[in-house]
Amino acid sequence: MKKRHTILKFILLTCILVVFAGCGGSKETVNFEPDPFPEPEPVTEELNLNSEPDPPKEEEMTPKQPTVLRTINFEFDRFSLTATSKAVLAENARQLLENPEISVRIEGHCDERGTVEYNLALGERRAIVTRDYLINYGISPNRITVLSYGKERPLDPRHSPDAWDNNRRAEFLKTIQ
Amino acid sequence: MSAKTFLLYILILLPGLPFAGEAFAQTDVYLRVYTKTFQRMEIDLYNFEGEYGPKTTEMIDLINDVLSNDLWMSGYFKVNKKSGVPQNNRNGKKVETRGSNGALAQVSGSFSVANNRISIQPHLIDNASGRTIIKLEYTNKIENGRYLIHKIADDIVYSLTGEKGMARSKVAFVTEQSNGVKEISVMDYDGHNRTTLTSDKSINLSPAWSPDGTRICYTSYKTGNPDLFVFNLRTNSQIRLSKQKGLNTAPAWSPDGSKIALTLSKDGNAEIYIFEVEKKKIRRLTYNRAIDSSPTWSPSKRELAFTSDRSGSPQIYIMDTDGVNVRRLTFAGGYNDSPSWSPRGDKIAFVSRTQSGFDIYTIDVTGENQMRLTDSSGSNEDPSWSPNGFSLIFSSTRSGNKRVYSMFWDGSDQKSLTSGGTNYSPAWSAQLK
Repeated sequence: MKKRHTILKFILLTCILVVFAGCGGSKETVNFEPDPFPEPEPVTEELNLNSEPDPPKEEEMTPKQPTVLRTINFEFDRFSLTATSKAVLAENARQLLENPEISVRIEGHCDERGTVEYNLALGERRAIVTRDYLINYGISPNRITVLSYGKERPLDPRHSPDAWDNNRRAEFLKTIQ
Repeated sequence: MSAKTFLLYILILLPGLPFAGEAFAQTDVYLRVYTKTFQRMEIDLYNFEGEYGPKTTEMIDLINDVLSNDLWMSGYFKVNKKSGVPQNNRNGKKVETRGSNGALAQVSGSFSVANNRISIQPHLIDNASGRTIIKLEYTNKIENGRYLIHKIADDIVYSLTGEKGMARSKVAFVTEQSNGVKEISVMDYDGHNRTTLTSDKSINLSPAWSPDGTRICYTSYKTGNPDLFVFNLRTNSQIRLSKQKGLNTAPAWSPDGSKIALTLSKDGNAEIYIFEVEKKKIRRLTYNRAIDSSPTWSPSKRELAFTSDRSGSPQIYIMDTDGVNVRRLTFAGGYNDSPSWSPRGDKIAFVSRTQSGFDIYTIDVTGENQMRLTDSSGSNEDPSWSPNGFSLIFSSTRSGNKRVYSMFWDGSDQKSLTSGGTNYSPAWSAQLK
């Protein structure tokens, strides 16, 4: 009985160590351009909770869900991530961690207001901030490329505040390596 | 009190009256204060005489319309369209002299068409002296008729003012198709002879002329990344000039044609660089975590104006072409972008976000005399100066889709040059031959 207990303890300890090791690993990548993301710490915890279940087991049980990487939106003339965007990115990151064969291209977009040239630069900043946030989650930078379309490819062709909200975005395009 | 004195009194009194500004705006005669005392010179334009079968009237009207528009657009002249033929002109005797209507000069002439070629013989006479200034024969293929008339207009402007005319200049712009494809197009400065240069079925943006008018630089997504291309109008071919990682955008050719200022983001952030066209070397000018974009050259080649959001919002800055002496030019308004340096050197046009959208302003390079030129519904963007610095071309959504418009430096005489489709980002070439 006691022996069993020790084994259980050992397993538990190993689990905890693995978790912490994971934690440390992620933290090491959180070392660049800290300004746009004021709170990277809680993010890593969230990530570990999500990635705890054994991936191989899940694969056997159910057919893999197709990865859907959701678009995030931005405020006017801003490239900082909103709370909503961060939550979406956490989910996108989880899916990318589960599907290491997938690479993504992040496309930054703007609404129609402002000049072509400034918006190209702004769209790139949106894509870069988004990429950097995913890298914080432990996604390899090699799996992510960025491209800005500025205001050249609106999702919503209308000229209204609603359309502008939809068009200020970062999209994820899957590219299999 | 003589009529002249009376007029003088009116002029002195008018500024004190509330409607004075409107009264002047409606005359469309005076270039208000660009050169404080400047007043358009009057020129009499007679119908040209000639024979072209059933198209005779059409040809007479064409010469008359193109010449009068060219002379008006030069910024120097007010054209008096005259019917009939000038008095005492044909037999080379005395001509009407200045004073009868105050006109500085008179233009008359004739034309003939044979073997698919048109010949035009303008006759420009200085009214004060009665002397002939131009009496030449201009010949070209009939389909180049407009070009030929533009050339005559340029010669008239040059001989009367000493400044090169701009009637043969062209405008490059972006044409957007309904499927989102954006191609580079070119038209005459008056909106005629429109052709599409590229057929990439991609996104082509931000056309910029080489100063000699033979090449147009632009950004294209045809290979996937926003790279920089050059379209050669002589060979009708395009080459890729810059394919740095990230942005290769907002090109601006230096006044001597040897360099292109542009925005690259290869170092992780949109910065301004100078690309040496022959040597293919790049030099970085800005080092700032903010967006730095949209450079425009001073005619002296010594400075660049550009947009940066280093203060928190996009504003116009000026720096030397080695990247030093950076100073902020615009302070009013929370969003100023798209600077365009006047070829006369003294003013910079730019776009400012207003309550109704975007409007075009000018500001002296000293930071003084900020002036709003457009004030209409919709957005007015992409200002680009005429080669003589008297006019601007821009895009506006005032009548729905984006169209290209022109106006004088004081905002007067705004008119659409394109109709149908979506056209924007106009760039006005230098004077061409």
